[in-house]
Amino acid sequence: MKKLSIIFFFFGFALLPFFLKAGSYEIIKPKEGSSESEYKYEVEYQGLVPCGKCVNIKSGEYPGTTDSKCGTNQQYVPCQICHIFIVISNVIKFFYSELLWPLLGVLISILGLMLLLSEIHPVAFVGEKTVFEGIEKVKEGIKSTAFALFFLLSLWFLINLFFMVMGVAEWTGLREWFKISCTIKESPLAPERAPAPTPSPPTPSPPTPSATSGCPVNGGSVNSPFGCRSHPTNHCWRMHNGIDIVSSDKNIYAANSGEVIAAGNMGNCGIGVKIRDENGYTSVYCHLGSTNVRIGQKVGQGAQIGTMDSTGVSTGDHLHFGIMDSQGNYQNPENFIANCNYSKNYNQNSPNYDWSGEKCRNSDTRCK
Amino acid sequence: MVNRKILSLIFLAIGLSILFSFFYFSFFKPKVPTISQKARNFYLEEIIGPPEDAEKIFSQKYSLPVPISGKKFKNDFKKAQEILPFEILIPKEKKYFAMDILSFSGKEKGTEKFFGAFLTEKGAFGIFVDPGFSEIDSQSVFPQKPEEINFKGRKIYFWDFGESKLMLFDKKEIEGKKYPYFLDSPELSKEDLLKILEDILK
Repeated sequence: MKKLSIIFFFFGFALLPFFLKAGSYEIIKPKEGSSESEYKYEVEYQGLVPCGKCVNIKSGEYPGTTDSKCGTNQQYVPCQICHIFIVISNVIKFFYSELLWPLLGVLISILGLMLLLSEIHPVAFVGEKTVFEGIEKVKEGIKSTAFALFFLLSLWFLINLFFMVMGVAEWTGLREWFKISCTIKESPLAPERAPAPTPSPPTPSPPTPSATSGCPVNGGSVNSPFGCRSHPTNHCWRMHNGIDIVSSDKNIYAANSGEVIAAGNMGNCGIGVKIRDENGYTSVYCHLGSTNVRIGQKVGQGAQIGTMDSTGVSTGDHLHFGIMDSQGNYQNPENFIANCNYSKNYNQNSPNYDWSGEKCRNSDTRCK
Repeated sequence: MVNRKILSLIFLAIGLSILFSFFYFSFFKPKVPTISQKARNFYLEEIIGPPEDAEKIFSQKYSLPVPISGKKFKNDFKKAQEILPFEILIPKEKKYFAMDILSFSGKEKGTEKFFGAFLTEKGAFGIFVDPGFSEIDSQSVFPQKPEEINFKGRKIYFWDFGESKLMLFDKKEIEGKKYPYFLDSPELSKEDLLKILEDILK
């Protein structure tokens, strides 16, 4: 029994650091015919079994569409062999973080209580001999456990230190060698999702017949295009899901006719308006100074809906104009308003734009 | 004999402290509330991206909300405040968690802004200071008239947009520029926002 418990603690503590570090698993979609991935993102644990349900997206480049089963920023994760490791690690974590500590607390308290009672009244309590024999055994057990724990943690510390100092972890590519990384290839069984948006340089193409093509502003220039862009100060690569239009005419007009589905304060968008047309396309207007429409109102194409300003995440007067299709994917608005003849006030060859969108999908170049 | 008594008391104290710590961390310590889908869409969806022409910027998104009483948040909050000429007001209780903070300034004076998204067990809310709203007449910016509320001797304005609520609760004037303070939420009620405001103004 004593040997068994020592073996149990030995393996338990030896594996503890590995399991405590087993924190993440990522989902990748490989590019067809290539070893590269199209996108990858990390999902966070929820419950003991981490698969076969919708889980939250933790970080990385997520295509950002809403599928039929889960909401936005959530993804259905089908169960795969890789999940066995995650479940084992969850069970061990449950043992160490939920069961072991209260058990240890109760055992030590009982030991203390037994010692105390045997001091107060040795014979009246369990019997002097039995109590002291028991105490000796418990003391031995605690000694062995403490020794095993100390030995293993020291070993762990030394190996890790060696890996770090000698740079083994770096040149072998095993940076976090102790971390169980569960990479799941996106399964065809997963609900169908729309492909990740791949922005192209904003060369206007003929407007889609189903989309409207009214002008949100009378005249003006596009100062910032749709696509992946870098911030000049902090070098964050982020998707800009619309275009920024600057104009001397401050009136904002509905680009499509439809129903107002949002109007008012909209967080980073400032004062904003969203209008959905009968084909499911939604036009988005941000940074307004005021709006004269409210939710549920029907508006016609060309109706004035507000004034241009700089509310929300903005430092100067402009309109952020976006178009979302019925699947919730942002489209390049310049393809829809080509007839508005806005001049282009940005450099297409600037290194601050990545037309492939790769830098926005890559977690190394995105800002956290 | 005395040693054994002391030893037994030490064992008892250790055992009970382990038990107490376990139950405290498991049951009594405030747990990080979950972000609802509605709040995610409202505060964490990126359609705008960072302002392209910002001169100084501090942006921090927390993949899991962090307690505002924690060291990490306090350090970030300090960095966010360094960019701004006005004081950032946030609640002073431990039950609040931060999801996102963003502060930046443009090239022109008076374009400094702060946006913070926070979380309680009841739901998410935002605190923001936006001088873009300062020249706006609170009565005419939206088609719906705001409700005027007298709250502890100050006049505040409240709008209900259906999908979200907005509350203008303070306005500071620094070197001739007005900085209005707002509370907003896609899921909390007016009463909840007033309770948060009480914690902010403590």
